[in-house]
Amino acid sequence: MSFWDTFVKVWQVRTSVRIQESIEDAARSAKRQAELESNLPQIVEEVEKKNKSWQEQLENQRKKQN
Amino acid sequence: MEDVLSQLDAGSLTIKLTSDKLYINTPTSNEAFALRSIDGVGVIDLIENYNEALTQHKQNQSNVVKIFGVGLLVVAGGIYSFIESINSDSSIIGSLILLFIGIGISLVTFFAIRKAKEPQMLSAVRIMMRSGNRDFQFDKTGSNSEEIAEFVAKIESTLTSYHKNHD
Repeated sequence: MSFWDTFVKVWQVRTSVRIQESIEDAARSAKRQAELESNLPQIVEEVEKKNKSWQEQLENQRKKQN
Repeated sequence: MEDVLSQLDAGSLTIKLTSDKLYINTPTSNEAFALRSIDGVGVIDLIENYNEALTQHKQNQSNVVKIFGVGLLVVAGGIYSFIESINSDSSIIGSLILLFIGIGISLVTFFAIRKAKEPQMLSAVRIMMRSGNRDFQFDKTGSNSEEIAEFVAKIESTLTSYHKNHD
């Protein structure tokens, strides 16, 4: 096998690996995005529920300190 | 002698604030930080962790529901086999075993679905220091949230007056 053939083969393998990795990354990122979007209503609800009383508590304590 | 301005005992975590230092004690570490090395304090919601926990919870629930479905199928198979056995006057032991296995799987998964706890979003007190940030997790709706709010407010006011007097 000539130097040129070896060079082309190596380039092909590297390129195909790169393409495969980018497809896997894109699929992983799309999955993560879809999971986040499906969880978003629950996350917003939880954040509102947890922060309502906490903000009041923190504000009261800040007033006491001042 | 240092004046203890505030102390927080949150289970295994103890944080003590004095006029010059902040002491943080956990089961595996005892640390002391000079107030001059602390840039600020904040409270953050660990949304990323909550998102992951929710995804995991949904995945677990979906797996359990699938197993529940398999249990129901086995029950249906058992009933069918039972009726066939009666019609053909053959032994019903096999179909009874199938029926019990199906009922067992369905009951176990049904209670697993009911028992599964929804994940809770945790928050963290973040102490920002020159050497990096330190996070201490807590639940904003937990029983010690009032103490943590008091502690955070105390650190805020102490840091403000400390930097005002020393800068």
